[in-house]
Amino acid sequence: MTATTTRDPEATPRLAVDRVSMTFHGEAGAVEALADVSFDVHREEIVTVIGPSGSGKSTLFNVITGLIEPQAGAIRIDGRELADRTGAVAYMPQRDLLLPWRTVLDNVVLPLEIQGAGGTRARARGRAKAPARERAREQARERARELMPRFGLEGFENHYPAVLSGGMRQRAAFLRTVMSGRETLLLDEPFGALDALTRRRLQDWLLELQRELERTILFITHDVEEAVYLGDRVVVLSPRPGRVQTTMPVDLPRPRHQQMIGDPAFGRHVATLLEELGVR
Amino acid sequence: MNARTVVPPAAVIVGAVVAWHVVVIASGLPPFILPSPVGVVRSGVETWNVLGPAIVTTLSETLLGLAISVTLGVAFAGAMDLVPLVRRALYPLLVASQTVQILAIAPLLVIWFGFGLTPNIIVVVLFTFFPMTVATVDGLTSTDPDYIRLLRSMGASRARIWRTVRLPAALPSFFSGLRLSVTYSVVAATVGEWVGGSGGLGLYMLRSKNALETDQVFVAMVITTLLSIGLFLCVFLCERLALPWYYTAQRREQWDEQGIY
Repeated sequence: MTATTTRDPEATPRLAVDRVSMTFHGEAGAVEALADVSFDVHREEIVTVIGPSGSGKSTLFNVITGLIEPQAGAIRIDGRELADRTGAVAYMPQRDLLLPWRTVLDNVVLPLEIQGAGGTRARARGRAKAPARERAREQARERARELMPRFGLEGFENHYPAVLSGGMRQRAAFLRTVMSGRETLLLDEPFGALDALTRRRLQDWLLELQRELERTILFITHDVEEAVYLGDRVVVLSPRPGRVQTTMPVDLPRPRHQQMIGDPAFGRHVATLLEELGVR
Repeated sequence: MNARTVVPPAAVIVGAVVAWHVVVIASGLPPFILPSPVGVVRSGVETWNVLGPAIVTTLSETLLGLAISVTLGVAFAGAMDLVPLVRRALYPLLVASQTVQILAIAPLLVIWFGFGLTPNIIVVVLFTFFPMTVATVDGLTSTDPDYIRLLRSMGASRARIWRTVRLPAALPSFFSGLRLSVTYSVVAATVGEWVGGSGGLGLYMLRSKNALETDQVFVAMVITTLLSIGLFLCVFLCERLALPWYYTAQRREQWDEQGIY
């Protein structure tokens, strides 16, 4: 076995999903989306989540981001259970959701704008410290400008998202996610809508960035190869109600590269996952 | 705006005016049935001392009425968006307000508010308030819920989401409503004046018609049209300035490629 991470198993996980259950009561009756889901994501780890449609992947993300509260169980971020955890992790939806009336630069600093304006601390500071807020704003924009080339967006800072290609829009959305400054990133099928080549390029680019930025990533995908290629571990969810069917460690060396897809080891991982998902 | 968008309609207008002139001369119709374009221009110049103040009156009523409509429309739309009960209570009334017989109510407004600008301003409001409000409400409700989810996940407050997403997303629709309202507004003001007989271009038109001065009726029609077009262009310019993202060159090019333009 190749050790891909040298972490202390006793360390507090960045993100702990602890016995989370969620049932929706709609007109069509009760729908059990998640049943007793538990897993941890450790510091600087990439955990991919895969499961058939209807396995509650999106519900899981809505619970983690704090958009909905689960009926049972808890979400702990760095060991703490927060009363309001919205904004505590950075969420990147499948659609880029760049605001069309904001330039690329204004889009990517949005999370910091919201943290600055909406945070309780900023409110306590009040209007007297407005210049400080202005300075923080300028610093955020400066930091975003510095990161633009790394995200392949150099020269497009002041363009509207409408002129960007699909891959560029996705990179801009990812930069927005990174700009939040949060340690844990939730990526919800970010490459799902892209063509196969762009997608592979962005996978490699994401892995490279991950090494530089040292963030922790939880990545939803419906693509088995993507789950293996990106992940340190793959969490497999069962069909409705979603449960953790199995957690598979990925014993492939890092850094990963696309040629590995031809390796027998890679194929074995994919085969195991397909079997778990009931595809033979 | 460029030659491609200006030349075709201008050519049609010039062609129509020339055709009109030719028809008048060839048919030998008396001016009180169909005046020639030259006659219309001449009578416009001759009655300028009456026409000038009439234009000022009508334009004032129009602009004041529009200002009230926009203010009320946005306020109502905001209230209806924020409070569902307000929406349920007001939406049917709004539709009803649009079905009110304005021809019947305009003289009553004169009885209630006298021969001033007020009754005509109210007529303008009655005409334009509805499109303004409905367009703004639609704009506010058109926000893609995924944007709201994203902002909530960033920890944004409700007020913040309103300011950052809902309001900007509503602007294109708001401007559509404004463009509709502006095109109605000048006609609305003259209708009020005509029915109430209280001044402005409407009264000028009414008197001209009664005196069989058909050329003056045409003068009033042309001026009303020009005022409407002028106001429309003002709104169009404001929209271009306020929503540069909505009119990026790219969008236009895509439309060209699709053959939409």
